[in-house]
Amino acid sequence: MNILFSFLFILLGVWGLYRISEKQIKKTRLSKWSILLVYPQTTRVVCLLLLILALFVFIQKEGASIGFVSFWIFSTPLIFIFILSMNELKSFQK
Amino acid sequence: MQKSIRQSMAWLHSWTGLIFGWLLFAIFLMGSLSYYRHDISLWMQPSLARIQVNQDTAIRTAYQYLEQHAPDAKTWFMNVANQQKSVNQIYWQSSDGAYENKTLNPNTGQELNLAQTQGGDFFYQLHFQLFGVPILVGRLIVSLAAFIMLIALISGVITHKKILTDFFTLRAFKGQRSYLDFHNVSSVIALPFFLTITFTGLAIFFYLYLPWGMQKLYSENNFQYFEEINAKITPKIENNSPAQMQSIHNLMQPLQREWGKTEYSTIHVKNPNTEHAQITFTEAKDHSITRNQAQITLNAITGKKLSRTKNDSAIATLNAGVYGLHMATFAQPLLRLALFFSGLLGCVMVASGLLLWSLKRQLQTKTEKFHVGHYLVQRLNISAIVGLPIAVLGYFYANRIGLLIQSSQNYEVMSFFIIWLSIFGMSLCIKKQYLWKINLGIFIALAFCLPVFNFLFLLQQNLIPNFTGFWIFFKVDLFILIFGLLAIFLYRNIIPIQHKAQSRIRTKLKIVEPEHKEEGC
Repeated sequence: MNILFSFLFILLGVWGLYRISEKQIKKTRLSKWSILLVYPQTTRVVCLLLLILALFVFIQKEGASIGFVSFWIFSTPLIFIFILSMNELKSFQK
Repeated sequence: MQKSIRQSMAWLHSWTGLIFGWLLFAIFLMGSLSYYRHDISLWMQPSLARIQVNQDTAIRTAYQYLEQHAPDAKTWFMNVANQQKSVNQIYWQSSDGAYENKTLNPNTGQELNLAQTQGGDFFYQLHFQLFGVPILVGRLIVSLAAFIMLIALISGVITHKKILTDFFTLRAFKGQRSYLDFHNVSSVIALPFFLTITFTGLAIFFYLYLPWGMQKLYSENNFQYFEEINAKITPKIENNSPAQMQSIHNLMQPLQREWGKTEYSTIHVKNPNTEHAQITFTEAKDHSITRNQAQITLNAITGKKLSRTKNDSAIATLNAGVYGLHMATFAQPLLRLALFFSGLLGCVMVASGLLLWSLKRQLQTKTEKFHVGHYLVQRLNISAIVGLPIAVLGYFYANRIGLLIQSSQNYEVMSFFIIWLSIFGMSLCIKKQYLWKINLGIFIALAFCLPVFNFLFLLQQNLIPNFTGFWIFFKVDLFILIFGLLAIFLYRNIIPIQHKAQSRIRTKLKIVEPEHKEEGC
């Protein structure tokens, strides 16, 4: 269960950072998530805190060293899947 | 004109990446497969999957075998059977110094004449010492590749201008941009993994390229370093008279009191059947990166507990940590899957980099003239990126066919290399536009037929007692099916990708051609 929470924290943190990223900021401003841009610095800090929280959940479950490694290793596929889902993967068949 | 640091790094990155790219792709793919090498070995030796392991029986039968067959050996070493590897593997150093090993049935203690398959160990060994070259040369080449990888990683980070801005950018089906985005995304998100795995891989073989310290300290026997880094130095025994060791049942009593019901990994006996005999039990459970499993050492004559023999010094712990981080012995199934995925991202990174190099050079070429370098790079790319996975499938097929016809010779490794070479040979004869389609088609056909073939084989051999028994094989098949589906995705979309790239090349040529004509006039 703990591991699911940490996955959720990672995805939430990455999603927040994506929403306020330089390339997405215009789209976010026009979307229902514009609230994230009221205090962008605060959003960024909260997202980073979520990532740190995920790290602590791993550490609490696996111990300091394996927890630290687990955080980075689990983040990779999660972020990759997130990026794939956020970008258009359909080809332009002519 | 002098180049900027970024331009110099880009040059270094692209050329080192190209020259070692194919080798690095193979190393990454073989390393990723090695995370599941025990599962692959079990898949390739289906008769072992039927053996039910009881570790108490396994230890007793292995111990009895050694007492009968190697009573005067210098050391005994037992890899105790477990669910993943259901046979006892025993080694001993006989009194004349020679090493011997046997594989035993854990229930009966009888020697097993297994099929000569190397199983997953073939991928593991190919990963770090290649094949067909002397072991040390192979390891040196792999170390050099790791060194180049480290250079490519650092130069890549310096070259990448907008590492944070482009963090989430992935534009698919946009020709050169897509290759670049895939290359960037796969490199950046798994960068901690790549840096760790490359550095630890390089550090493990330090004795090959920096041997002088070891040669000076251990001038008589370099291998003494490896003994000392693992175990504390013990004084040399001068007079060692024979003595009767206690039964394994008695020796295991204090362990059961201390550890309770647990799984054992190894048992090591020093000076068996002598008055200095000592036995070390190592627990399988490992919750440390530094491979610090619990150990208990006993005097094998009196049964008295002795002090820990493991070398706990800082340098030994660092050494174990480097090994542990690279091998990931601590990784539980889910973490192992994530590590496997990171390894595959390494393949994606190298593959997209190689394809980008090739496409970029085509776009930069101002004529449609045949270019032997580009022709060869394209063929080598396809032979590595699709040819190598086809060879892996061929290796699996060769195993099943070998078992089916009960061949006394093992042709698995030979099949692997013949298939790989054939793909390269075939690619040399195929037109560029058909390269991907034909090779992906072969991969898809093989990937989807293998689970069916395997299922029929298991049925025919009566090796599916229940679903749990089938799952041992099906989990490998499932991975193959997933890769087959991924290949279908690529197969369906490879034409749009190629069209986009070709239309860009043609547009560029059309623009450039009139200029050339004008220059000619």
